[in-house]
Amino acid sequence: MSIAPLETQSVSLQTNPNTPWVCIVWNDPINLMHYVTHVFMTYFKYSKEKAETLMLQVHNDGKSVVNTGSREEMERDVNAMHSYGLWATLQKS
Amino acid sequence: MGHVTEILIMENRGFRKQLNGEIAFQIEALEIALLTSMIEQIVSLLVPLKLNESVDPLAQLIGIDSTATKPDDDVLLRLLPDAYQNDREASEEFRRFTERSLRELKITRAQFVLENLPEPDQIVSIKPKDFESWLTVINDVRLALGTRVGITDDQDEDEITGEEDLAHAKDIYAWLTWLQSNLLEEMNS
Repeated sequence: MSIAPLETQSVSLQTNPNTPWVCIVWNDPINLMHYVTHVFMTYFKYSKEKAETLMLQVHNDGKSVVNTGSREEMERDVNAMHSYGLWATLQKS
Repeated sequence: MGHVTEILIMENRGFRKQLNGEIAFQIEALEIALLTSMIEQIVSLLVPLKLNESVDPLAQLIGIDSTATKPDDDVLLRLLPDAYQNDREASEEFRRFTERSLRELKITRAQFVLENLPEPDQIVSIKPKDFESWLTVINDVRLALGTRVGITDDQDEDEITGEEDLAHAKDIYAWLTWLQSNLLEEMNS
């Protein structure tokens, strides 16, 4: 700890990297599977393979963590998912 | 998630990507009227946040709405969901900071599609830069209709029967699903 540069320490205090947040997309009966895949590829720039894996997690398990980061970043992601009509929430991981 | 049902065998409406990258397809007068009506309904649902007499103009400018609260209406709640699953306070705060601009984005896209619906019996032609607007507006319409008629799990789509208007709603829902699927397929082709 003591050797970390001051700058890093102050950033750490603000974003608290030890408790990252997650963006969760939940299954719903209306959004089509290939639409959900398309949204993951378009917004997160995920590969088709990764987007399909996440989509299938949503479909089969009821939800999937689609991104991890600061609270502000996850709020931005949730807001974007809502703009596409996906059902998304954020929480501490 | 939703499924594309037997409607996929609906006749080919000439859905195709043109050399210039645009997606063109035929749409009938009745379908244009239907889409217009449904999109207008969504706009009227999203607008009532009376772009508002009592709202602080500066707050409005930066998209904050101190009056935004969880919608009572199921359809509106589906279009503007809570951002936190079990934290009402955080969800409400999120709404105050984001809901107005989300409503405005959805309204802007909806009005764009309304303005670009063709005259009856003409071909729809969508430019690549507009693909996402069409896709998300059709999705919002499916969300609204699907929520209103109570599609609640993955198989329910086939089970909306009984009353005549519900059967009719099911046909429209299936048509929207077909439309969205074809758009997606052509976009990714």
